[in-house]
Amino acid sequence: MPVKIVNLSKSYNGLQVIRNFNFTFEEGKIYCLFGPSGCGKTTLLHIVAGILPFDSGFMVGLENRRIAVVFQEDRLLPWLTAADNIKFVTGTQDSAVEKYLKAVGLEEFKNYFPDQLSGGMKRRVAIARALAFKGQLLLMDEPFKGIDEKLKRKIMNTILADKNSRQIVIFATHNRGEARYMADEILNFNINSLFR
Amino acid sequence: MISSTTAHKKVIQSILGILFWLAAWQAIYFIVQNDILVPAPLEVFSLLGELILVKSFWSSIFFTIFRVFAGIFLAVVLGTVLGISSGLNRFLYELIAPLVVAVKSTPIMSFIIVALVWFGSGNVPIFICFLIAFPIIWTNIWEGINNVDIKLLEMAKVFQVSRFKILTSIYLPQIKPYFISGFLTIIGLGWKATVTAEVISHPVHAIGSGLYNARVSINTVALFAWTLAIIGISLLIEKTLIYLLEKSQGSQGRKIDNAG
Repeated sequence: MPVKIVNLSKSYNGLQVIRNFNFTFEEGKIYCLFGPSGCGKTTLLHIVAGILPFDSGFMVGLENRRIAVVFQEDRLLPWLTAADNIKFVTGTQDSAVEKYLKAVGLEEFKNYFPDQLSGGMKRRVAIARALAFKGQLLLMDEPFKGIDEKLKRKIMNTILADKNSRQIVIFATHNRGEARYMADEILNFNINSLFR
Repeated sequence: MISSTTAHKKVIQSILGILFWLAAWQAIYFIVQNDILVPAPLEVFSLLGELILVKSFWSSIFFTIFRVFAGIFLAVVLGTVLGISSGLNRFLYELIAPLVVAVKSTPIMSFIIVALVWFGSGNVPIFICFLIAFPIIWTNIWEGINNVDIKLLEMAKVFQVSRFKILTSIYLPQIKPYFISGFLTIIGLGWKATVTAEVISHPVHAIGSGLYNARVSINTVALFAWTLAIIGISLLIEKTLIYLLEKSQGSQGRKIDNAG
């Protein structure tokens, strides 16, 4: 079932960030929200994830859907190791944990705590966590920030290979290369007005 | 090598500090020249040496420690459970907060007198220790819950993590420092409150009863000897608990090191 967004609007303290946004995200496709910082990409992702209320409009197709998110901040539990951070959301599927840590090049660091990892490594743990969760909707906010080109390509390939026909992937970036490499469709955003 | 020298220096400094205050005590004793007001340190230590050999001294210490631990145990269990519940439920917070404020601002003596009517003399110190310790644990836990990182809770919500897992993996680790800080505070306060309650309620076996008897017979030497015993045991328990807590933190540290 596609995710349909109808006439969605959102303001912060009187400043309208999203105005009458309409779009249908089809299953099996990767969408890129492309635009500069502050144009509402994160706001839209948070609304779709269900952690931010919106002012008006409605969304269809999100009911009972497993949603995985790579947040702009890594949001890792500091007292859990990289592997345990993944297990925290997936349960105890060790094989999935190993598989995705390997996919992001961190199999050697599975027992490291977040404060022992670099910024880019933490980012990769957050990506591995989202991929291992096997969400039917995968939302990623600037997922490759701080990751070097070679690894970025490897991770992007994993996401592309891992995607199934019923999954929807939406990611936000302001990197044109990432958008072109990954996305089936690119949605261009402008500051203060979201339009397709 | 450096750390061993530093530790050695620290021990010498601590001993010098104690010797300074003993010398000051001796000097005051010489100046005052009144055994009832200030007894001689040597006399106090020699009485303490005699007390150590008496069985009732140890039973008094044992029962006082038991009362302190019983009061603290009750406060920790109830304070933690109600602190977490109040942090998660505004209504419960509004219900308990006035009670905690009332307990905090009521003089301890009022509670002791009321408790004497309610309970047997042996249980009054436990109740008083609980009353002193509970608000501190409750407040700290409540504060810890309110300072839990919202972003981590949002993450757990999105990934549909169970409530139990959120409690054990997000809330409990985040309230741990608040709990430890409260716990270390109530150890010291619990001692003072328990002994104070024992002085008033004077149960059969109690350090407070030793203090009470010394006061009644105007035996300042005994009063000082019992006080020294209280300071010694209180310090010993506090240091042991801090050591155990540090050790438990240290084992986590080793886990981190092993991770590499």
